[in-house]
Amino acid sequence: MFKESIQKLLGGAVICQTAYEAEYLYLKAESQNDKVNDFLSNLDRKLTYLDSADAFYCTFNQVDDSNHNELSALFSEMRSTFRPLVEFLDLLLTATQADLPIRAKSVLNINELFDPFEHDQTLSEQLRRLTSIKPFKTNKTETREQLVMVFQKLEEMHYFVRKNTGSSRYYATARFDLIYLLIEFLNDAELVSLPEQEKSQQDELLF
Amino acid sequence: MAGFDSTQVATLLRQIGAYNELLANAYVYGSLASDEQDSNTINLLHKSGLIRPDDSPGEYRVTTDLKRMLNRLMRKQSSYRQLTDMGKVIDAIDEVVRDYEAATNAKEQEDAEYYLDQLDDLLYETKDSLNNNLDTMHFAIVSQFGFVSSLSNKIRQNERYLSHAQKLLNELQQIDPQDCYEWLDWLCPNEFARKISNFIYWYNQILPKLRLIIDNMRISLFRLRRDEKQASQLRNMARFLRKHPEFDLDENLFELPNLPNTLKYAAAMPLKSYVDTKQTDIEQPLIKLVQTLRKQAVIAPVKNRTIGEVTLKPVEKVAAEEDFFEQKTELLFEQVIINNSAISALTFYQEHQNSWLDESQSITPKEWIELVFSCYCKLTNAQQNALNIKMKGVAVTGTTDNYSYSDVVIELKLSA
Repeated sequence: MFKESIQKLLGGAVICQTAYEAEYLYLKAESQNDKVNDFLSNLDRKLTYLDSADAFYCTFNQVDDSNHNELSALFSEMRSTFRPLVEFLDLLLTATQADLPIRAKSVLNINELFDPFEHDQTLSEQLRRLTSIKPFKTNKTETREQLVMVFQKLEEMHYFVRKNTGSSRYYATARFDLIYLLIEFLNDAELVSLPEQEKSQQDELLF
Repeated sequence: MAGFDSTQVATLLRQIGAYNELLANAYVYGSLASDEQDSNTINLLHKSGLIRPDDSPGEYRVTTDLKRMLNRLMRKQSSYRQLTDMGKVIDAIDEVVRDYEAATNAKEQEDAEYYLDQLDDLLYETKDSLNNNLDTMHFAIVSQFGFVSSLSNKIRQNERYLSHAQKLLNELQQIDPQDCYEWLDWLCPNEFARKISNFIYWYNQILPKLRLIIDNMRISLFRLRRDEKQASQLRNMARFLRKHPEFDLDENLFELPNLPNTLKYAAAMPLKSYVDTKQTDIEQPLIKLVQTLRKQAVIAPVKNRTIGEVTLKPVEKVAAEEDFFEQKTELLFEQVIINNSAISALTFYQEHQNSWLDESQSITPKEWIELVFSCYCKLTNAQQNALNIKMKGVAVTGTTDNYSYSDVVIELKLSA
């Protein structure tokens, strides 16, 4: 399992219980964890454990000439998907009427989402807008098809996994948690000034 | 148990059994209205302490004692707030212990037994209620406060449970179980000593359990608050992005000095390897691999073929049958060429009709004209260049380019 774990980590995978269970269990054992970390340190990388998502992945130690270009490419890809991903997560929060965003180990049944998206014009309009930009761009016009497309794309991007290809149940991976981590950083580092949360509930009627 | 005889208990249980549905409804729906029921029944149940009058007149509820018992037996999420005043409990135990000691020393067997019974109940109730309390709290954490659905209510419940648990811990910590050993400081019977030492043993175990629960509650509260923060930050970020379509992440985000370690994702490393052909120990498997690859390229999959028979029939020779009237159209074209004069198909028909009838061949004029036209169309390009066809007809009323034809005239082209 050492080889498999290393291969996945070097390939940029985020190892969590949903995405790569065998590797996850292997890395959970502390001694293996050290072994993997020692190996990765030779390649200027580090095994990082994200507590909130219970996930492992590779992080770089420092930025220098050797890795500047590839990091620049990786982060520019992240820049291009950040906005659509946030839009998607916010849309999902509205559609499911949940107060908890999806994260590692969440399960979504796409069949249960068709109804709210097809019957709420605002949602379908937002979905239409989302599917007009990369990486969710599609020519499909039906709301249902657009939603399927978005989920398939997210599966390709390793945000979701399915137990088998025909299944309607999508299991979220720890990659979603990394988005929240980034939002938190942007907020804390004051790189953006997020508006204060609107009061969701009116305490009493005003008349 | 002293003080009651079993018939009394049986009567009470029989009453519960006789009004099972009534009591069950009152328990499940909260109350029952007296006007629906016979007032005698209500009075009876009230007297037995099974129901009590509600604040709104004419309504009755199940008494707290019965409700608590049912909650317990139905494993319902009971209130965690059964505040156990351990100081008072210990005082009560102390009193019973002293009474027991006095009765035993005075050799009053029956009274001593009564006190021992009381002590047993007291100890059991204390243990049971505290265990139950802890179980309830434990269940709340495990179910992530599943009895309320919204995140903010979960947080509120978690905070309440935590503060209750902390109060309980403070209270329990004030009692030193070592002091309880003083109850055994006399020539006490074994049965009594066993009860007291079991209690102390249990007491010593309950504190770490409670501490563990408090720790878990703290973690759970931390997680819930983090979830709430995450959700609100996500919503705010989405709102911010909608307001600022120009916003983009910093191009050099990965170079920021304050970027947390968890966000420093390493780029994927392309993994490739090449074979060292000079290494002898991998020669065999390598050759095998190359051969399999080669074989794959050459060998086409063998298809299972089925055998079928093909019978050939000799080509039949059929004498060409020439159509009588087609020959006549050729005659018409010949005459045009020979005489160099235009010939109308209709006129030709009229001239030759009788001779054709003699040969017992007949054709209607319409079919003849259509035949001449189609034979003209079948002529080669060169032939068509030599001959001209003129259609005689009138325009169909109501249309511009549709004609109804009555005759065709074949003539030689002038240029020919």
